[in-house]
Amino acid sequence: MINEFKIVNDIKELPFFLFYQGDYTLSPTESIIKVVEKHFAPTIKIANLKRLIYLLIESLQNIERYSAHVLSSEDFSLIYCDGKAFYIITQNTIYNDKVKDLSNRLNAIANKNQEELEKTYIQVLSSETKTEKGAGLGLIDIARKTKNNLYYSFTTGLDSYSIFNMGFSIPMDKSMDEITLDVIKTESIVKEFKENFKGNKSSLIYGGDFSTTFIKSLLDLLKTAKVNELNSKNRKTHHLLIEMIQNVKKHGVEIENGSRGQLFLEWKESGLHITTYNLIENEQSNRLIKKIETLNEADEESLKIISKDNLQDFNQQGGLGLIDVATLIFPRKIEVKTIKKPNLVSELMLSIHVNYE
Amino acid sequence: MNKNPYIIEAKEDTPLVVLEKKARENSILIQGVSMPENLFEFYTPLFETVLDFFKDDNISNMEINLEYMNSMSNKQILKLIKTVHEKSPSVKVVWKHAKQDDLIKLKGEEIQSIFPEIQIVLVEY
Repeated sequence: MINEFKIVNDIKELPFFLFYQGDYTLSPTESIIKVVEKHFAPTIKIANLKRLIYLLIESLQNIERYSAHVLSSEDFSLIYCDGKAFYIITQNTIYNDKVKDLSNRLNAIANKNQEELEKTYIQVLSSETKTEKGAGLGLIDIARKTKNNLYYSFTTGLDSYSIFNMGFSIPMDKSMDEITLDVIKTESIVKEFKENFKGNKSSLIYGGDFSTTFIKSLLDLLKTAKVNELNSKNRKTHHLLIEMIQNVKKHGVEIENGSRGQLFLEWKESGLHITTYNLIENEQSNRLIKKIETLNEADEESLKIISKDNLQDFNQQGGLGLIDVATLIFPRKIEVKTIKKPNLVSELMLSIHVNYE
Repeated sequence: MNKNPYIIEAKEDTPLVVLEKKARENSILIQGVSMPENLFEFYTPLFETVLDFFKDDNISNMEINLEYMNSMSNKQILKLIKTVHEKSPSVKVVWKHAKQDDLIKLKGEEIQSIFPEIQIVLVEY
């Protein structure tokens, strides 16, 4: 289970949060875009959404293009929103012999003002010269669209490759003032993640809406970008995700301006670890914990009886979801942790482990 | 309700439903994904539509082929089978499930054991 509730506290006030660390060779870009696009489409102006998606595609494709793809645990993207701006942060490994060229180009961009950037953009656009990985337009375009608010760094010292970090912010609405990326805050979040998820083959952290649209985008990601993971095409994993996510949707108390809950997926050597976090009313939390205790104590036959009884009880509207979860992961158990809060709500964290099959 | 077949198109979170009257048999098909956030928005009118469409007719076949079904839908599907059986006691229910889809298979077996009086056949594809 995730290091208590520490990570959760770092991100729970954010209305949207998506971190994906893993192998970028199978292009998770499309699925990540889908999650972001579907989340924001109902609430922000189309022009702002298009700008966000465009910059996100450029950033994610940079990872795909430039990553040395030697250590998937070092490649990640992080997209979050604090109600004022969107923040995009990426990291990837890069071969040492490519560092100089990229670094030179970024330094050249950093020294330009907006007018110079526009001019350079037009020049490169109409130029015949192309860099090895493309026209070199992507980075210039990110810089001009973010008013050159681009943070980047290289960390050398590894065998034949270095770590490249890049980040920027864009206001949620074009008319708003530019907001600079808080590098210290971002680095602290990233550090926290890396410490907690060290050793994972891949990790995904999400905070946002828990709608069916999100579930479908997530299942798409599993079927495409995670196709090499044993459980990704497995319906059992999909059913478990649906129930765990809908559980958050059903019981999660919405945090003002924050997300309804959080989802943590960790691909480990032995299988997939799924954790959900949400606030829940105390009364409901007590009932839920009692129920999970009963399910965890039950043997396979008892679970069947509990399920059958619940299914036939038309007066009871819910409750079947966790029974299904307990049945599908048996003999493993549902892990549960809660912290009581002063205002009649509790913090609830549920975790399950799905073995590779 | 004059249309035959009567079709409710599938949506992101609700299944395709086809109600059809033929010379020899009348059938219901439920196919796709059933995980609506608001369950009753979909299922309450569905019950009414089924009973209205087959008002004076017997229902001979009911095929349920769901890729994903959330736990709440499970209860509604069970209720629908019960309702259809009460109207047409000789109805044959075909419960389809993908190979290795343990949950959908298990749900079919569960419904079989709850309603031993209904002819429910599990078909793997």
